[in-house]
Amino acid sequence: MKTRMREVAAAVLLALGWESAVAGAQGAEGAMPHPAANGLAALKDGRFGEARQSFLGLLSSLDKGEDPAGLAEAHFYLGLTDQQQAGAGVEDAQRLALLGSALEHYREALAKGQESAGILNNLARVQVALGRTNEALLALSRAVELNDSRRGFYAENYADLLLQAGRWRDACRLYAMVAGEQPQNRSVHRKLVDACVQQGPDLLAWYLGELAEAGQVAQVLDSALGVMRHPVWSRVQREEMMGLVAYCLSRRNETLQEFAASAAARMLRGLVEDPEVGEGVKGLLHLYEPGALDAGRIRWWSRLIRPGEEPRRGRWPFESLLGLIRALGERAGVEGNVERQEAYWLLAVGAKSGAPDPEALWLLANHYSDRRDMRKLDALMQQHEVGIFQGKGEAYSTSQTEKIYRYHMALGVIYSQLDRWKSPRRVDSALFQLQRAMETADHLNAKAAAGGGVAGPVVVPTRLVDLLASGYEKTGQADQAIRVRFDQAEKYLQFNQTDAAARVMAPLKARAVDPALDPNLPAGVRDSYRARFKAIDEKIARGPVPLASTSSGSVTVRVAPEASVVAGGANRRTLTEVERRTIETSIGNVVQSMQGKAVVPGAGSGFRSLSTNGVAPEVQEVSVTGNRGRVLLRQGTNLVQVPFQVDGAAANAKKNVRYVRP
Amino acid sequence: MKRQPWRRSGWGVGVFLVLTCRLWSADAGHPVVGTRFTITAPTFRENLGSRRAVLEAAVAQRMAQLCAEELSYVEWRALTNEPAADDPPWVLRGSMVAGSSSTFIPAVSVQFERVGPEPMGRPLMVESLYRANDLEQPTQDSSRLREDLLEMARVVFSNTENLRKLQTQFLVKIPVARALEPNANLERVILPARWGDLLPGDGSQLRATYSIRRPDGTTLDVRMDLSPSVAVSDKVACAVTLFDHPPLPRQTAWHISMPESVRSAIPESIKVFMSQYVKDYSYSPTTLEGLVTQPFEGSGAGGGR
Repeated sequence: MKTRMREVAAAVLLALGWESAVAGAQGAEGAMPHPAANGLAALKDGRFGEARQSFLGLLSSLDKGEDPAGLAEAHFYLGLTDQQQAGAGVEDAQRLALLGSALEHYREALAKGQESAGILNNLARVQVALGRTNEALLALSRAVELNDSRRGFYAENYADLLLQAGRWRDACRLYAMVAGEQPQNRSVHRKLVDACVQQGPDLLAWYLGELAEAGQVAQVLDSALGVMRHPVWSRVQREEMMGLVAYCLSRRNETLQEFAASAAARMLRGLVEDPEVGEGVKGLLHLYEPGALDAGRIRWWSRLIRPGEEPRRGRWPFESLLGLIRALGERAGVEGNVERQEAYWLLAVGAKSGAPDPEALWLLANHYSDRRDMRKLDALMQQHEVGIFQGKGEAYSTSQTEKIYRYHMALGVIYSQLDRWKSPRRVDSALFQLQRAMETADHLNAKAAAGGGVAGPVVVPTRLVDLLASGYEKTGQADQAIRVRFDQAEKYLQFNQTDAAARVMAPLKARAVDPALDPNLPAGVRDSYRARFKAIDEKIARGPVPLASTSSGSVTVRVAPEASVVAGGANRRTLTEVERRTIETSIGNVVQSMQGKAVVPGAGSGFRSLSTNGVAPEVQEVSVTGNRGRVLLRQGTNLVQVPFQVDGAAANAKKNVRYVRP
Repeated sequence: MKRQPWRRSGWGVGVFLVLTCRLWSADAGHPVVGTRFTITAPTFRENLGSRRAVLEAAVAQRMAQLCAEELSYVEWRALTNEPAADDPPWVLRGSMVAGSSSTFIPAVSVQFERVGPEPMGRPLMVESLYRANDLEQPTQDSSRLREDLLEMARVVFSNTENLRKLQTQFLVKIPVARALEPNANLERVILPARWGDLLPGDGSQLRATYSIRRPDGTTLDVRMDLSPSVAVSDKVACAVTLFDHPPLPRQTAWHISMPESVRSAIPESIKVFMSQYVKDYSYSPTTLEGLVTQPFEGSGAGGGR
C-alpha cells in the first residue's frame, strides 16, 4: 500500500517537478526572464528537441570570449537535456549517443566555468550509465571535496556508487558522515547499518558509538536493538551492541513509567529469551522495576570488562551499564527520591565483587557525608572495604590512574568522616588517602600536559583540600595545613579557577591569619609564606584571566600522543612527533576549511607534506564537538583513532564539524 | 567580464522567489514557538545581578538555534523575560532551579517545560546541573556558569531522544495549518503550507481535525490522518491514511466524500497537527532524482520539483 502510494507520489512529482524551476526562471512580472526559461519549460514537459534548440540558441547568442560562466550554464543545460532524454525509454543506440553528448557538454561546462560540484555530480551519473565507474568515482569524490551546501546529497550518491564498486568500507564512512549530519535521514542510517551488517559487522558498533556520542541516541538505540537478532553477529559483537544500548538508555531523560511504555522497552522484552544476551536484557529491565535492586540480576554484565585492556569502543559494556545505573540514580535524585538514588549507587558499588565502582563510591561517600550519616558510612565500609582495596590494587596493577584517583578520593572522604586520621603512612587513614588523591591528580595533570592537554586538567574538589587541611590541624600539623592550602590554591590559579582558590584560602583569611605571623615558624619560612599569601591573594582579587580572543579565527589543535586501534591488530600505539604535527596541521586545515577559511598548504618544517586540500593522506575522518574531537587514521591495515582538543574559533562553533575523506 | 542583461536579472528572480516564500509563509501562519530561559535558583540570581538578563537571553538564543536545526518546521524565536505583546502563545521554557533547601548547598537542576494556551503537565526534561553540597557550584563565576548552561543546552538539544520527546509531547499540540484543500483529481489533501517550510520526510504524519455543524445544531468531530507524499506547486500534498467521519465507516484511503466534508467544516475549527515528524533532508529546489538542475549555487535559473 505504502509502495503504491509512493509510486503515485513519484508520478505526480515528475509531472509537476519542474514547475518551480520554470516559474523561477520566468521571473516576476516586469523582470527580464532568464534566457533558459523557455528551454526549462520544454524540458519539464519532456519536449527534449525544443529544449535542446532553446539551449543551443542560448549558446550561440553568448559572447564566447567574455562570458565563460554563461557558456558553462548553457552547456550544463544541454547536458541535462541529453541526460534526461537518455533516461526516457529511448532505444539503446540513441541512448548511448545521448549519453555521449551529455558527457561532452558537462565536460565543456567544467572547462568553461568555475569548478562546480553540481556539474560533477551529473557528469558522474552519465559516466556510470556508460560503465565508466572509476571516472564517476573520481568526479563524485571531487564533488564531495568541493564542500558546497549540497555536500550531503553528493556524499550519499558517492557512497551508493562505492558500495556498488565493492568499496564498502569507504561507503560506510560516507554514509556515517551523512548520518552524522542528518540525524533523521532514515534511508542513510539504514544503508549504513545494512552495509556494515553484510560486509563488516565489526565496524557497526564503532559507527553507532560515534553517532551516540554525538547525541543520536534515538537512532542508535533503534539500530542496535533492531540488528541484535541478526545471525551475522558474534557473541562479542552482540555484547558490544548491548553496551551501546545501555549507553543510549543512560542518556534518555525519562521516568520508570515512561520507559516501561516505550518502544525500547518493548523491543528489549522481545529479547529476554535470547540465549546469548537474554540475561543481559533481563538485567537492564530490572533496573527499571520499582522495588529493591539486586546485584545478582545484573551479574551477566560484570564479565564484560577486561581491566588491563583498553576498550576498542571507548568504554567496556560493563562500564556503560554502570553509567546507566548512576544516571538512573541521578534522575531519582532530581525527582526528589533520595532513597532510590542511594539504592542505585549502592547497586553500582556492589555490581562486581572485588571491584566496586569508584565513581558511585565517591557519590555515596559524599551523600552520606553531607547527611552526617555515620551509620551508613560505617556499613558501607563493613561491606565493601576489602573489595575497595582489591579494586584499588587492581587499578594500580593495570595503571588505571583515573580509577586510582577516584578510589583515593572516596576513601579520603569516608575515613575523614569516620574520624580515622591516624598516621599519613597508614593506608586506612584519611590523611594517607587524601594525600594520595592529590598526588594522583598531579600525576594525571602531568600526563595530560605531556599529551598536549587533550584530556583536560583534573581539578581536585575543594572539599578534599578542606578535609586534608583540617586533618593536619587535628593531628597537630598546622604548618602542613597552611602549606596544602597554598599549594592547591596555586594549582587552581594555574587552571584559571579563582573561585576554587578563594574557597581554599578563605579559612586563612577568615581567621585573619597571616601565616607569616605564626611565631612558631622559622623566619625564612614565614617570609616565603608571606610572599605566597600575597601573590595568591592578588591573583584571586584580579579574577579569572579572560580567555584569548577567537575573533581572528585562528585554530590551535593538540593531539593526544597515543592512538587506540578501532579495526585491526593490537590495542594502542604511540604517535611520533612528526605524525602528531602532521595530524594537528591536517585537523586545523579541516576545521578552517569547514568555516570557509584558508588552509595551510603543502609541507612545512616538522611535518610531512600534505595533499592539496591540506589534509594528510592517512586522515580518514575528523569530528569535532565543542572543543574536543577525534581523528580517524589509516595506518597500514589498521584503523586507529586519536582524541584531540581545539582552541580558537572552532571551540565556539555552534554546530559540530565533521570531515570524511572523499 | 562583460555581463549579459539576463544574468543581472538573476538577482530579480532570486529576490522574487524569496519574497513570495516569505509572504506565503506569513499568510499560512507558520507556527512560532518561543524559547525562554529563567534563572530562579536564589543564590545565582542574586549574585548575577544585572548580568542575569544577558545570560538568560543567551541561553534562550542557544535553545532556539539548536531546536531549529532538526525541528525546522516551526519558527523558533528566542524571547527575553520581559513579556512583549507579540510573544507567541507557545513557549519552551527552561528554568535553572534550586532543589530542597534542607541541604547546606542545594542541588541545582535545569528543567524544560511546555507553556501554551492550555495546561501542559510535568516538565518535558529535567537535567541535573550541580549536585547538592557541591562546593564547586559557580555561584560567583558568571563566565563558568554561562559555559555550563550553554553546554547543557547543547547536550540536551543535540540529543535526538529529547528532540523526539519535544516533538511528540509538545509540538504535536501546535497547529501547522488551519485549512485543507481536498483535491479529487490527485486524490490528495493539499495543505496551505510550503513543502520547503515543513520538509516532511518519509515517516512524517499529520492529523487534521475539524467540526461540522449538524442540522440539529450539534457538532460532529471529523478526523483525518495524512501522510505527506509530494510537493505540488511547492505545497504539501498528502495521501489519506485515515478518514473518520461517522456514520461513514472508517476509511484508510481517499474517499469521494472528503471534499464535501471539508466544505461543510466550521472554518475556525480546522486544525492540522504534525503528529510525527521526520525531516526531509533530500528536498532541494535544485536537485531532482539524483541529478542537479542548477549548475552553480545561487545561479538564477534551474531548480527542480
